[in-house]
Amino acid sequence: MKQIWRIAKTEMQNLFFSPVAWVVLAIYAIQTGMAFLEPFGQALRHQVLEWQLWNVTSQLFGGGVFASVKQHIFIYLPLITMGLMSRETSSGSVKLLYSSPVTSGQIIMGKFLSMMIFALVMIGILFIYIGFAAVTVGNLQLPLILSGLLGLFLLICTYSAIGLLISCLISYQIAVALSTFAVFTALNYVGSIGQDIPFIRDITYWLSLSGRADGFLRGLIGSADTVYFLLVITMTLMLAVIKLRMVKHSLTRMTGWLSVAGVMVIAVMFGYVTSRPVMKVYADTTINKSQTITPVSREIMSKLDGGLTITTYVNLLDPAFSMSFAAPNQVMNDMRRFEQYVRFKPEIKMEYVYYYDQAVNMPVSSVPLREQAEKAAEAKRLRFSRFKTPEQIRDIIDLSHEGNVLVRRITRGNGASTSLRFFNDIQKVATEREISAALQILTGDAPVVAFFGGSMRDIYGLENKDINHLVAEHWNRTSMVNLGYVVESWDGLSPLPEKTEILFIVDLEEPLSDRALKNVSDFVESGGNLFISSDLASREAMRPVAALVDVQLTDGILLQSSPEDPSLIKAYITLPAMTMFPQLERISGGTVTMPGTHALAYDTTRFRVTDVLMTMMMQTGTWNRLRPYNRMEREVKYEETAGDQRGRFPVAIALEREINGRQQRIFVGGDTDWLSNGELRTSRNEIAQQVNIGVWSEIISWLGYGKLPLDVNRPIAPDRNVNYEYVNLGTLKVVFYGIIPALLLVGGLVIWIVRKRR
Amino acid sequence: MKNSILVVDHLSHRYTTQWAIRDINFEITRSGVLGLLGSNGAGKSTTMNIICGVLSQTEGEVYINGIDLKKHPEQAKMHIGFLPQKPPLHPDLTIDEYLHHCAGLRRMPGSEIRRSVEEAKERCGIAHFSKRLLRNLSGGYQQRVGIAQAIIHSPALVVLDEPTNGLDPNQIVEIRKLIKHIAEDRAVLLSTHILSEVQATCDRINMIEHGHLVFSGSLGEFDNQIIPDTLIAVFAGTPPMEAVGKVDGVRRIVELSGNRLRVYYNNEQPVSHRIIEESVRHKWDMTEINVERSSLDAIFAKLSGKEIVE
Repeated sequence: MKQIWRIAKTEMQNLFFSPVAWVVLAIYAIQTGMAFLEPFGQALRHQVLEWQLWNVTSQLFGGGVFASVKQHIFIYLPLITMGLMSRETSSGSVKLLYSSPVTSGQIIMGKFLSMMIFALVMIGILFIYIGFAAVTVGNLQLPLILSGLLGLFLLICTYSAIGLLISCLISYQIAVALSTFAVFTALNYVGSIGQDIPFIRDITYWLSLSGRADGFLRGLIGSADTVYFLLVITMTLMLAVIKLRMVKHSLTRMTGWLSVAGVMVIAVMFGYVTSRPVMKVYADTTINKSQTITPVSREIMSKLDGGLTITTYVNLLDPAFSMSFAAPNQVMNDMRRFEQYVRFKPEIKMEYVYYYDQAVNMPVSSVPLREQAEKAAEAKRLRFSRFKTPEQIRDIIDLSHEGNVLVRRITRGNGASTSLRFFNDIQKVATEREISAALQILTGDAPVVAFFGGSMRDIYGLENKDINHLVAEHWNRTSMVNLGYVVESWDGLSPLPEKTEILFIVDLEEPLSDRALKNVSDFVESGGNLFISSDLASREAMRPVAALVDVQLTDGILLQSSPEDPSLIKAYITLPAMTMFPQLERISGGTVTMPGTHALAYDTTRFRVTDVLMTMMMQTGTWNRLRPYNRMEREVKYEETAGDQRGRFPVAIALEREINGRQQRIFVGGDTDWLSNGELRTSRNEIAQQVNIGVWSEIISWLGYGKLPLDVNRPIAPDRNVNYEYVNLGTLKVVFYGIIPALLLVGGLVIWIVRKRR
Repeated sequence: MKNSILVVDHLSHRYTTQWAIRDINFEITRSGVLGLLGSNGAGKSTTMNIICGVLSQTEGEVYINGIDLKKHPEQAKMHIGFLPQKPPLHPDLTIDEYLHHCAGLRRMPGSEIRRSVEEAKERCGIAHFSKRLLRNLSGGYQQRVGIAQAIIHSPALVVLDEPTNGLDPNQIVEIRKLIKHIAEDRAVLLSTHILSEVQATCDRINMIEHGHLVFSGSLGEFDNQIIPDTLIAVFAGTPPMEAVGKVDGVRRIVELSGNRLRVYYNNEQPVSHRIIEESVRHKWDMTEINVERSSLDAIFAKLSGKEIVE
């Protein structure tokens, strides 16, 4: 150890008595200073604008300084590592080492130790920013920072070990620097090579260095990544020792190359074993465990015993999703989306099936399907033969109900399966909420909801009047099917689907038959939860159902004075509703738009009733008009003499009672259009904040006792404020871009000049 | 062998396919300078690199103070000081920093390092330069530092590979003096391709040619080998070759340019006297006669049993 330390010490002297290290450190200080002040300044600006900050630690470090270091470090390091061995070889001083009582291993370890110290110096410079942040940022997440530092340290050490090996191989320093730079660059980008070929993909992913630090920077310390770094370091150093011994002829060519092969084989085997999901261990250093799936998801996972396969069906001709998220060269990225699930269930298998077929979202074309597919494959430089034909895929699985767009099927060992989709929004991919919801369906614990309605409001229909968007639309993240409900249709006569938790009775065209009404009544009296949604046209048919829960559907139509459409009721969320549904407070200023609704009246003998949505209290008010209303009427006014009644009217109510030892929950609405595809697609400029979806979500969540949507929210991390004056940002720039780098530079120059004169 | 400082036993080394040295055997049992003589490429550096553990031999053994170098390299190397052809310096360090580093590498106890650095500097005459950067020293002083690092741990064996190479005549004289001084209490193995250096510094001589040890003995024995056996005679006119050839003791004559003859003779006989007498008697008009000193090449050729090619 003493010998190792002595070699390291002399190496440090060689390094710091020359100006190169100081210049590198000065440039590094400027670069990290910029990477720190950029997000820091932005946080201050946001604070001045009174925007709420979040995850300040992560923005300043993991996503700021550390990301920048990770990205640029490979540019500096060759300048430092180039001389490690090659300087000794070319100057002949290596013979001093060889003729002294030190082993080749000690020489390499000494050189590497000096680089570890240099890595600590580089990390030490980052403590300037960490120290500053500790003073200015409230509740700085130190563990998260330490995790990032560990990742950077391992990354720098790994680069250094590789640089050291190259320095052993080549004796001309500039050639070493250039070769090292070339190798680092290759290692940085190798991860994107051959991603569409499964075998190559595994190798290039394994070789890709810098990506391995990402987890650390996010606050997630993974055993596989840690072992990977340590393994590459060990392997590289061993190769360097072998090289030295070959130079000294203490290993013959033959034994030398055999040793090289042996070391590599062992490293690859060890790397393979430790990267198996079952061997992986993680530590999440974030305060709110943001890098780990939530306890809710973990509980779902714990119920999924047996095998689990996630098969992704990728359609070459799907213009929206397939090629952006699951193209053959995206597979590694795509698999990473499930890393946190695999962490808790290592036996998850991920498979990809490629095919081409007519997709629902394809533009119309007269070109035959096969020809289109061939062209698409050629344009994307993909081997056409790897894509299954429409006939072949249909033999395996029928994806027509998914429109043949990108979809995953999750299948349990017991055969149960469900779809996990991609969505038509900015994010596109499923988040923890949707993934866990899909998995919950497989556990059999997902709530079953039954829809009873005529052809008026089809849960699968795409017309304006239909309610597909909120209930069964595949590409809407918030539709009930994607939130994790098992959605069933019910005809009123057959027995209700097993374990039905909520019965939806929506806009009946005709009154229920006696038998159907009896079935509904039985369900209500047994304590089942109910969603009743009426409308002007279906009022008569809905009345017997509403009567089951003591609600009357008032005659007339509600009108509000408006230059455009007096029958468009702008309903607001009541205060009692906000108490009952706390989430509604966030959208309390918003409006629910109800085109054509009637009022509700109720009796509170059996049920506790809360008004959820009421008509606005405006100067001219809202009135209930009992006379017929014609949309084409020119001037619609309140006319007391004609029987109009002015007032505030409930248009949506929530009912509760205790029955059979449980709390029964029922919702009744005077309009259904507010949930229709058409209304949700309409943009109403005069409405500042339309909250139809928000209110719907809260109501169905309430009806299901809050089981869905899954609560995968984490507590908000407390690092949310910065105590620094925005006007003083300039001072920081002077310090971080000027003074600190200048001190390093001057320090280096002084040492160099003073010594040079000796 | 037990008391030997160095034993080189059937040493052979092969780079790729070519044998650089072959079956070399010698021994050092006492202090003094052993010269390793040989022309460039003869195998001197290979031998020295192997002895110092810089290179691992293909065949044969090296024992330092009785320790097998190949089996126990670290213990054996504690008794060696090595100055390669190019001094193994760190140019950005000062003499003190460098010598401290070297002393440490040779596993000297920390408490003794300071004293031994001072001693080594004193011996090599660089004590007044302690704080100078190695890069700023002249070639001669760099060589002294190189020697200082080789003796800093008082090794039993100091190996110097062409220590006067590239130095000016004054520096050469001083370094030779230093080497003799060092060799007073330890064994020094010194390689050179300069004959005069051997004669000036060495007590014993080993000669290597084409990878083979062709001579091993004392300086006196070596001098016997280099007794001259040729002379050059210069004449005013055309040399009387036939007549000179008949002089008693002359083996052979070669005519050179400028009316000169190289005369090979049997060296036990005083041939020059006879040639002068005959010249006077027969009026050969000889203007000059010189006994030729043996060239190193000639000695190499002779010791390796080959005729020198004119």
